[in-house]
Amino acid sequence: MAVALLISISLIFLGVTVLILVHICIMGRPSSLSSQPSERKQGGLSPKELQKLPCFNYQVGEKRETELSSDCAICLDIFMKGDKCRLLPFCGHSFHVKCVDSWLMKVPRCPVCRAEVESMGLEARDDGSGCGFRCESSLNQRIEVRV
Amino acid sequence: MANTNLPRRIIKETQRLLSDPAPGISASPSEDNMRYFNVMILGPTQSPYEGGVFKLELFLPEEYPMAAPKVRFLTKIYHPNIDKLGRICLDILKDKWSPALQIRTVLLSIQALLSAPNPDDPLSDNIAKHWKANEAEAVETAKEWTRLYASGT
Repeated sequence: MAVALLISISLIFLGVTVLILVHICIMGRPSSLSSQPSERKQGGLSPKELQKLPCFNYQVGEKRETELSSDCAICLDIFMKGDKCRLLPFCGHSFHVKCVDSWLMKVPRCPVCRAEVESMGLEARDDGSGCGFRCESSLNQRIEVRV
Repeated sequence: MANTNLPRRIIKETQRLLSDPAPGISASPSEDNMRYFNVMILGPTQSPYEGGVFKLELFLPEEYPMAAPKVRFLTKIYHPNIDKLGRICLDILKDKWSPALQIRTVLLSIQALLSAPNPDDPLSDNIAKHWKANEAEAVETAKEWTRLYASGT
């Protein structure tokens, strides 16, 4: 009798534990999944995500000056030496930082080709090289390719 | 007033529109508000709007170019994507707006919309129904409206 009672109590306890575990699995996953994408999709990129996008100071080279399209498509001004510019990693289009950031905060797409600017792909380059001078050399390579 | 602190981009666009207008399109800013443009679009050839001169108004909101210009037909037009208030159903004026687009590109798109009405994405249900049920007849009505309401001057 006592043994049967003990078994049934332990079975009930086991069942409740399993139910709690299942509940944690089901409730835990969607919240952790949904929090990131919904934050990003509702509007544009957050300031933190913008920081991860490559940035460079515009350099005027003898060749580049004439061959590269040298206007910012947003303000229509010509890029001047030392202008702070941002390079969108997936399509290679560049704009002034101040011009493109205010757009990307609204819509995370390239203004020229509408390529999605995802922060996910940028996690890997979260090494502090975001908005500084370190990207200059990699941009030069890209510009050479585009020219 | 509204003209103080006009962004350089708007000044540039205005200068280019005036010095190098797109074929069949004219846009000139109002004297008292440089964000308000009086626009005229000629009906494209080989469209039911051929021979018509269509007046529109275009307004650049404070957030421009981060927000699309507001454009409306002032001339009555029989078109499935334009309603009787002159409002235009065009994606780049709504969710497909991009700050790389300009007044010129918007007006060219509207001109293209006149050449290619899209009754599957209507703004004016009755006209779209007419267009789908009997396109030849709808085109005739569009031509007649062009003669009646858009015959210039």
